[in-house]
Amino acid sequence: MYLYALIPSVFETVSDPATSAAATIAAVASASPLRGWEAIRAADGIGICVTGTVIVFVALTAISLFIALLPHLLAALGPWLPEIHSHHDQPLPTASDSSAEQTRRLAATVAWARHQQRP
Amino acid sequence: MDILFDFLKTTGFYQMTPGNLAMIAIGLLFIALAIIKDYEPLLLLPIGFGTIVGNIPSIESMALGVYDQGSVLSYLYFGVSQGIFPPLIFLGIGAMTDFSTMLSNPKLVMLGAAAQAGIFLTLLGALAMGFSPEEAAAIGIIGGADGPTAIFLASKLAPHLLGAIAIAAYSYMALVPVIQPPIMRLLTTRKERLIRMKPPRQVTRHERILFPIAGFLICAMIAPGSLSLIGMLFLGNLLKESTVTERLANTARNAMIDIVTILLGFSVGASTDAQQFLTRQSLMIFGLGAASFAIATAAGVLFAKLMNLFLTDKINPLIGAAGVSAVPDSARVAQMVGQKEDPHNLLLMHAMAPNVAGVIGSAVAAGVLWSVMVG
Repeated sequence: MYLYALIPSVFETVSDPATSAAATIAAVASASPLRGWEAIRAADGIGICVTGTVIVFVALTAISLFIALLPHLLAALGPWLPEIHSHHDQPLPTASDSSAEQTRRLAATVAWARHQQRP
Repeated sequence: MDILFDFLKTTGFYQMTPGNLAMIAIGLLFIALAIIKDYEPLLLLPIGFGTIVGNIPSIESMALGVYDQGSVLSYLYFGVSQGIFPPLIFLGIGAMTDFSTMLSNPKLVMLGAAAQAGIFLTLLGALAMGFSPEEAAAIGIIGGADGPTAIFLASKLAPHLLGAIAIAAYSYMALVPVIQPPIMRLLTTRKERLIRMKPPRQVTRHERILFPIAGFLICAMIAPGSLSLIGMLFLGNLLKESTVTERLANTARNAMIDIVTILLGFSVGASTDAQQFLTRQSLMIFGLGAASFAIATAAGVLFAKLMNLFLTDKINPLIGAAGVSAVPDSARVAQMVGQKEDPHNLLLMHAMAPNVAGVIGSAVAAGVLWSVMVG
């Protein structure tokens, strides 16, 4: 009986080209007789809920365990791990560096000026 | 004269419906909340304006709206409907996120898992209200308090509900400072709110570099459905932490995330055409969304209290509410509620740990739901 009630509503919406697929699905959903505990049981809602929660906990527990073990792991692997130099750790330019840079710029400027004055 | 009358019939004034007017009012409300109240302005402003754009009636023969094939808006909406924008946003989030506090106190990761209870309990509620399992899963993910994840899963499982789910998710994310504090105060005693936590330890660079790689492998192996979200999140973080790709990290966390946020917010707003949006289902989704945020907050706080039964170094249960992955708002709320009891108690850095764990947790939950529903 439920199926009988459902089918005409679906075909009505499909036959109307102006009606979107969304409306069809909405019609099916609204025509669905299942509500409350019946619907949860029919869709195995509790199973999905428990499985999903367990998987999320397993994933984050695994991450948590990895993080907890990471310092020990790094300590054990210490001798074999390469030194990591951050690009942010580069030494700041020294006074001699800046004077070298100034000299280079000055030379470039002089060269450009002489190039401009060539006949 | 006939031409003039024909033209007048094509104007928005002639074709306007009460539904369109109501949606334009909602769009204006979002813009007002963004500008006046500063509630999630980066999201609410483009969504609000998009809502106004999406509710200007147009001629049927003209391809203008997001649902009209070949229209400009439909191409912008393609990034939403195909789930392209959410992973790009995750790339930017990864490039912004500092996992240091989480790495320094790994037990706080569990709070991010506990808060995902909101997703699965809301799924049950949605099923009970008559939604199909796919729709219920897409609605449940609102409880993850993660807009991009909600859009991603809705686009895969219930595209016809995408507009309502996205608007509900972002609206409640903006309302985190309103929804969470009463629940947090209700579930904690003053003594608990006064708990001071140990300062986090210094995290080495090796740890910060190895974590995104290992974190991705763990999550993707357990829940492959979360591959694109988690992959982009951890790629973004590796770009940041490696420090050898500073230009890429900068682009991901600044220019790219801003561009995608504009496109996503605007096109989601434009998808809220009154004929599609103003339905009984949308109202039910908004109700379930509010419930999911409340459940997620309560689950995080209660789980922190449960953990305190076994821990010597107690956790301030307020940071459990930060497991709701609205980054960084729920962490800020934990700090704000904690400081009302003790102005010198700095909870923000501790709250960031469950907050970022919640982002991972909600992405994993989305992957699990997607796998279960299509499997």
